Order: sequence, then C-alpha cells, then structure tokens
Amino acid sequence: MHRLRALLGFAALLSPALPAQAGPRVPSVASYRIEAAWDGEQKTLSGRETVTFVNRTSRSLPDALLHLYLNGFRNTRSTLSPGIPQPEGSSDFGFCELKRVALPDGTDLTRRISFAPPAGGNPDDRTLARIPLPRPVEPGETLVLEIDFESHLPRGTLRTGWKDDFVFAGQWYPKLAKATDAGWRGRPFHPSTEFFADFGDYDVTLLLPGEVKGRVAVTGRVVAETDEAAERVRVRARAEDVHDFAFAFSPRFEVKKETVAPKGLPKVDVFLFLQPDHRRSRERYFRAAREGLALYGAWLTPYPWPTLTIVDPPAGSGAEAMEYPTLITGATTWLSPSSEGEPGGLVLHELAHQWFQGAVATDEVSEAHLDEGLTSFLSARAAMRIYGAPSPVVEAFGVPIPLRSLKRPLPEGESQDALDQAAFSRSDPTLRETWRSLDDAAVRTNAYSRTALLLESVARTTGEQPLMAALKEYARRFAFRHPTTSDFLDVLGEVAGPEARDLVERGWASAGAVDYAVTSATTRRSAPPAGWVGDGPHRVYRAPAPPGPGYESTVVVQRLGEIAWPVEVEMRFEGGRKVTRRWDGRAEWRRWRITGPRLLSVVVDPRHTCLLDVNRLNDGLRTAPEPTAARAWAHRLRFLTQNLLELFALLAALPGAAL
Amino acid sequence: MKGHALPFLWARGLLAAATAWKALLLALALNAALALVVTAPLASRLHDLLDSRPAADGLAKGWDVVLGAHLIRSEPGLLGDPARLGALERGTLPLADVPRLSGPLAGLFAAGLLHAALSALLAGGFAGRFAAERERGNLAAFLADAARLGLPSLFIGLVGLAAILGAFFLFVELPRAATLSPDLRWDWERTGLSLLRLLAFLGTTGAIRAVVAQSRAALGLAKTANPFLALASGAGFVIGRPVKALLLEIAFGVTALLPLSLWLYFAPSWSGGDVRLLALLVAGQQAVVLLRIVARAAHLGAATAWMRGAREAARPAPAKIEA
Repeated sequence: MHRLRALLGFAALLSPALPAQAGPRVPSVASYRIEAAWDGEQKTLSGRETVTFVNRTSRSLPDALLHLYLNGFRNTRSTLSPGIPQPEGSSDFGFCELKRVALPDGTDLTRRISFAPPAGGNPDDRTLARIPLPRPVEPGETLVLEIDFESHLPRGTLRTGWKDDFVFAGQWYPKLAKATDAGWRGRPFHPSTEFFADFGDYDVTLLLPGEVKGRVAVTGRVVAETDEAAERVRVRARAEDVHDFAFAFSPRFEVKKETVAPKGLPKVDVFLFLQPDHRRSRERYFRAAREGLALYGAWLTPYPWPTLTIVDPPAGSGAEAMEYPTLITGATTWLSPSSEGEPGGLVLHELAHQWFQGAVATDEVSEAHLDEGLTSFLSARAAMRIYGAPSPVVEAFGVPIPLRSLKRPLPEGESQDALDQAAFSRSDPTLRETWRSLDDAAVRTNAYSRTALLLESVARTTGEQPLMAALKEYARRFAFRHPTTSDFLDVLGEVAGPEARDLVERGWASAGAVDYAVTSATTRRSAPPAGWVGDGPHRVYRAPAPPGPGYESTVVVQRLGEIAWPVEVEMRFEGGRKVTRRWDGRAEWRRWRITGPRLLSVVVDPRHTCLLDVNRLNDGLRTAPEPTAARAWAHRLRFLTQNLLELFALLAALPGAAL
Repeated sequence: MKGHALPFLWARGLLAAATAWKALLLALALNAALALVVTAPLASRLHDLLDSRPAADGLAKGWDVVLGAHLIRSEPGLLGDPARLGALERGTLPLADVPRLSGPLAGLFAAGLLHAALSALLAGGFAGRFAAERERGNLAAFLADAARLGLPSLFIGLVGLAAILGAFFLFVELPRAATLSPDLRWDWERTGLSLLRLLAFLGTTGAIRAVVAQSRAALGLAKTANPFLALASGAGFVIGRPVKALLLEIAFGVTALLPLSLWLYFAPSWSGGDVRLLALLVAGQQAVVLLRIVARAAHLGAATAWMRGAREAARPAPAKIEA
C-alpha cells in the first residue's frame, strides 16, 4: 500500500506540465456582458449588464440571487461595516443600485426585488438581492437577465474604491450568487472573506477618461481601445473561464509587459501597472511573477490563463494585496528595502491564488482555509526558496529600516498572526465558517497562518513529496470546479496517505493547540538492587551497596495540548550518545527509563517538524542547568538599560547626546 | 583658530571634562548601579526560564524571532504588560499610560526618572567645577557644588523637559495624522513630511538643550544660584548666537553617539564560553557609556568656556598703567 501510494505520488509529481489548460474546463455557467461608463466627478459606474446563466444544477431555481457587494459600503449598518476604517465623510461610502431588472422579453422584475439577508442575519444589510422569477429556471435551462445598475465607488479603504485619479473597481457590478444543488449559495459581504461564484465568460466595455488610454488593467485582456467624443476612451476587455472581473485605471500608471515562458510551461503575458514612484520595484514584481509562475507551474498545474496582470496601487488606496482571476494587486513603497523580498512575497501569495480560488474555485466565505491557507503554505515555500528568510522591517518617520540581524523563517515567522496562532486560533476550529468565528483575528489566523503551519508540519512529518503530490493532484482534479474540504481531504488521503489526511483533519477540526513538553528529566547513579532477591531457596538478602558507575535516567514527556501529533523524543547522554524514540503522541504522557551513561538533555520534536507547537521553550529539559543564554541576555539587557538611562538623561534636557 | 571657534570649544569641553574624571566615574557608577538594580529581577527570571531548557541555546547567540515570541507568550509579564509593551513598540502608547507600565518596564521608567534627576543634580556640580579656576578635579568640591547648584540645575532641567515635551507634542504628535494621511498622493510626500516633523522636533530640542547648557554654565559662573537669572542669561546667550549654539549641540551629540554606534556595529556578541571575552566586552560597554557621559559633561564645559570668554571679551579693556 505504501509503495502504491509512493508510486502514485511520484507519478503525480512527474505528470506532464505541458498542456496549456490545467484540466477540463466546465462549460460556462454565469457569463456577463457589461457596458459601463465612469463618472469621475461622482465616482460612479453607470451601466447595463446582460447575465446569461445556465442552470447546471439538478434543482429548479425559482428566483435569482444577486450580490450587490458595494452595498457593504452603503452605511454603518452593513455587515461589512465593522471591517472598514471609521468613515470620515460621504466619500467613504458607496453603493450598488439596481435601476432596472428585466427578462429579454421585456418582463420587468424591478418591483420584485427584495433584500435577502440569511435567516438570523443583519436585516440592514443590502448586499444580497433576491429576484423572484415568473417561472423557475429548470435544470439545463438558461436564464438571461438584463440589469441596469449604478455603482458608486467609495474612497478606497477595503479592496475597492478610488484614491485621487487611481481607481480600483472590484466587486463593482451586480453578480449572481453561486448556484448549487441545494439552491443559491450567497452570503452577505463580510469583512474577512468574500467570494464564491460560477465560472463564465466576461465581455466588458468601459467608457473611461481619455487620459487613461493604454493604462487600464483588467481581468483577462484588453481587446480594443477606441477614442470617443469628449476626450473619452472606450475600452473593451474579454476574459474566459473566470468567476469574477475587476479592473483598475490611472493616468499615472507606467505599463510594462514581459512574456514569461517557464521551461516546459506555456507562455504567459505579464502586464505590470506600476506607480511612477515605485519604479525601483519593477524588476522585483517581474521576478516574483517569473519565478512564481515557474514554481507553481511545476508544483501544481500550468498557469491556466494566457495573461497575468499585476496592479501596483498607490499607498493608502485600500486596493493592496488582492486577487482576482488573472489580476492581482501588490503593495510597495518607494523606499521598500530590496533585500526583504517585498513586494515579491506578496506577489507570490496573490499569484498562488490564481490556482486556489482562481481555478480551484472553493467557497471562500465558508472555507477560507482552502484558498488562503493553501496559498499561504505555497507562497511561504516559494518565498523561502527564492528570497530566503526575510528580516523584520520597522518604519520610523516614513523610513523603513530592515533589522538585518533578525530573520523571520516562513511560514512560522510570516506575521504576528502566525507567531500568535496559538492564542488566536483557540476560539474557533478552522472548519468553522469564517463569518461565525469570534473575530477577525480568529479568521485570519485560522484561514491563513494555522493552515499554512499545519500543512508545513504535515510536510515535515509525513514527507514533503507526498504532500506536494497531493496538492498537485488536487489542483489538477478540481481545476475549474468547486471542491470542498472533504474533496481536499480525500485527495490528500489518496495521494499522501491516511496519516497526512488524519493530521490535517485533526488540525482543522479542533480549536485546540499542539503542545508537547518535557516535564521531567532526571538522572542518577544506578545502584544494584538491595533487599531480598530471588525466590525460595535462591532468595538471598543483599545489603544496600554504593551506586555503580552507570546511570539510571527517567524522562517524562507530556501532551499538554488537545491535538495529538507524532513526535520524536531525543535523549542525549554523556560521551555523545544519542537515543531517539518515536511516539505517536496520542496518550497524555509517556515515560522512558534508560540505563547507561549520564543523561544530559531531552528534547521532544528536535527537528521542529510540528510548527503548531505553541511553546517551543518547554520542548526540552536539561538535567543540569546551563546559564549561558540567560547570562548573555542579562548582559545585553544591562547594556541596553544603561543606554536607556542615558536617554532619560537626554529627555531631562541635560547637555550632550542630542542626536 | 579663534578661541571661540567650534573645534576649539569642542576640545576645551573635552579637556574640562577630563579634569573632572573622578566625578565622571561617579556618574558612570551611578548609571551602572541603577542598571544593575533594574535588570536584576529580569536576569533572575531569565535564569529560571532558560537555564534548564535546551531550546534556550537558540537565544544565546541573539534574538530568535520565533523562539522569542514563544518565550514572551509563555511568560507574558516577562517585560511588563504585553499590551502596553506592544503599544510602546508601535509608538502608540499614550503619554498618560507611561506611568502605568508594569514589570521591568515600570522599573526602567522609575529608574530613568531617578537617573535623570541625579544627572541634573550632578550637572550642578559640573557647572560649579567648570566655572572654578582651580581644583576642577576635586571630588569634594564637586559634591559641594552639586549640593549648592544641584536644585537650580534640576529646575532648569525640568523647564527644559517641559519645553521638549511641548515640542514633541507640537511637532511629532499633533501633525502625525496629517503627515501619515492616506490622502497624500506620493510616497515621498509622506516620508518627506514625516522627516520634516522629526527635523523640526530635533531642531527645537537642540535649541532647548543649548539653552539648558548655557543656563547651567551661567549658573556656575554666577555668584548667586538663581535659576531664573541663569535661564534668562542662557536663553539670551543662545538667542544671540543660535547657529553656533546649535552646532555645538550637534558636535557633542555626535561625540556621544559615535562610540555607541561603532560599538553596536562592530562589537562581537557574547554567547557563552570564554569568560575573558565577557569581561572584555563589559569593560568595552562601560567605556562606551562613559564616553556618552563625558560628552554630556564636555558640552557643559564648552558652554562654560564659551560664556566666560564672551563675557571677558565684552568687558572694557583696563586702562594703561603708567609707570
């Protein structure tokens, strides 16, 4: 069985990465033809869209459910509102209004529209609109809706909006919820996780200011740009096999293009829309795209579209670090240090989303770990391979200062969330729907950091190759489909083995922690047995004798966390002898008694395979104290304190040392 | 080179400080003793936490971000209240919360205030000795001057502190939101305005500290220990020569920070093993702190020499004595 699994894994890793498409693409379900005009004064997009929906579910659908995402910015009562910075004025608000909804035969459905928060949801939320239909859409039938809408973009604070003449339009048009065999699946616009939609084709025509001609970034590709009256430009874009459409424009964009052709993989046209003051980051963006496309292409499937667009937003635009099909946003500043892998690390993360959520289109609202978690795991691996461990960067008076003597290994040092996952993930298991979680910190930690740490721990425990092979198979099998957690676990079990599946399932299902501690390590000279020894006529009395040259050592390792993890326990003895024991970690504790040389130290999980362990400090114990680390730090802290005291003298306006 | 040229004043300040070497060593001893008291409980706790843990090996060479996070999380009060510590790190701790710090941070804050007060008292001693014609190195005379001029010197220091806090509020805190506004179009605008804030604060602080230095010099040179007169005299002196006063401040600022910067950049870090290396490093560290204290005192020495020279130059020349 093991051999078969290894063969399967190996075959999956070697499977040819040649086809331009990742897998069989599903026929279009929800396609959009949109025409919209931008009013720069009012910050509105007024337009008309024709939605063509093919009911490929097994269920008859009596209504249509539309996401009006921009209504998340409508007022301070929306479900999204707690995630938005405190609004300061009318420009911080936005909305999406349905002016008219009709069928192709002219049947007006506008009056039927109702806002439909899920049961027990926020009644003030208007991000979901339900439209009862004159007759249900039966399986296999096509529904065409003609919708006139007006979208008012807020000042950019969260994913979408404008800043000066930069506009990033995401979630800007009325969009169908996801059709499933259980009916429409749509959730209000939540602050943490957002999207789930059907695949389709987009044909979008935008009327924009003439000054942005050639500077419009879109999902898919711009196919035509024609000058119009009143110094405007008509931009037509097309995208196939995508589940969303976003665009951005700015007259200040510097547009660069590079065709990337990773070895053995299809060519991809990479477009970079760069802020002029971020020119230093140009090559960093392209490098991340080049190397990311090659790595992910090898680890997963070839990049599934012919174009990749990277938008570099201005700082403070709120459009940073987002992913849409074929379009991602980065984030950098003019002084961003080149050595720390930014914006490359971020680009690698958003690029990985092209596979996990872009092509493998999971339900981000309910199962964010399937895209953010897998993406965090992959991008951390890619970043470590390309850049190595980055250093933390502190910013003082607008100047970023990398602390080069410190390193943040990925994924455990990726962010404060990752470092604090033990604290934040205690409230909710990862499998809980994100919008039911305690708070944003719990969502972030579970979806991003905990899943990345979990997968990295599985790779280190059960083997890197089987896990990567499982990811590859999962990406291949579910490209342009909508898998769930159980689909992922099935592939994992099938390719990487039941232990890998079991570990991931345990890590996701529990809000508990992993914590192994060596709670006792003693060693003493072993004395020969004293008292009555032997039976019957052979019973003899042995007087207590002085201890001999050998030692008797006892070690206790306890599982303090709720989650069991297989661990190694390493015991070091005098003379350099080392004994390693493997423990499945399931019992509450385990004791070992060893005779031989003097025990020096015991460490559980010495190779740091389980990155979820919440306290690495208690992972080991010495039998004799070793004061070096404490002494070294006491020495450093004393010097630091002496200089801080001098700083106090400076604050008290004593002469000297002003600068 | 003129007697009041900047390099000359700088050298005279250092020479004056060198003559008061006993007092400088006393200041160093105070600093070291306070640091020892503040860090002793923390050091003891570190021994409790780390001595028996093999994972601590990763901390001996330097800070390990991941292990450090585990240490702080498992001992949240190690450095004091973690929430306030985080706010302090981010520079968002409200000034009103500073006295409410807990743990070693509270100790550091209290010791810092005490150190500042003691330094201000000692500055009175330095001012008296640098103004004296003879016995500049006499420790008893230094302590007598500290007793006589210490409180006025402390008062001048407090006025300076209030002015510096005002400058901090005015130049750093008040415009913070405006200079970090996301509405600024270009990154360089935000950086430029932030640096402008810093520059304005440093410039104002430099001027305030120059006034304090000259006021203490005036205190030493005056016959009475009146801090108001000294402040007026010091302020008037700096207003008459603002650029040079600021340059002198900068010169001694660089003198103080240069050894520290060099040390931080080049000095090795002790991570166990050779105890002789530890002794050498401790000696080097004390030399760095001493140089900072020397720079502090030398600034006062230079200020005194400069003020005395200026007064002498302003005095009318004596009439020619006929034989």
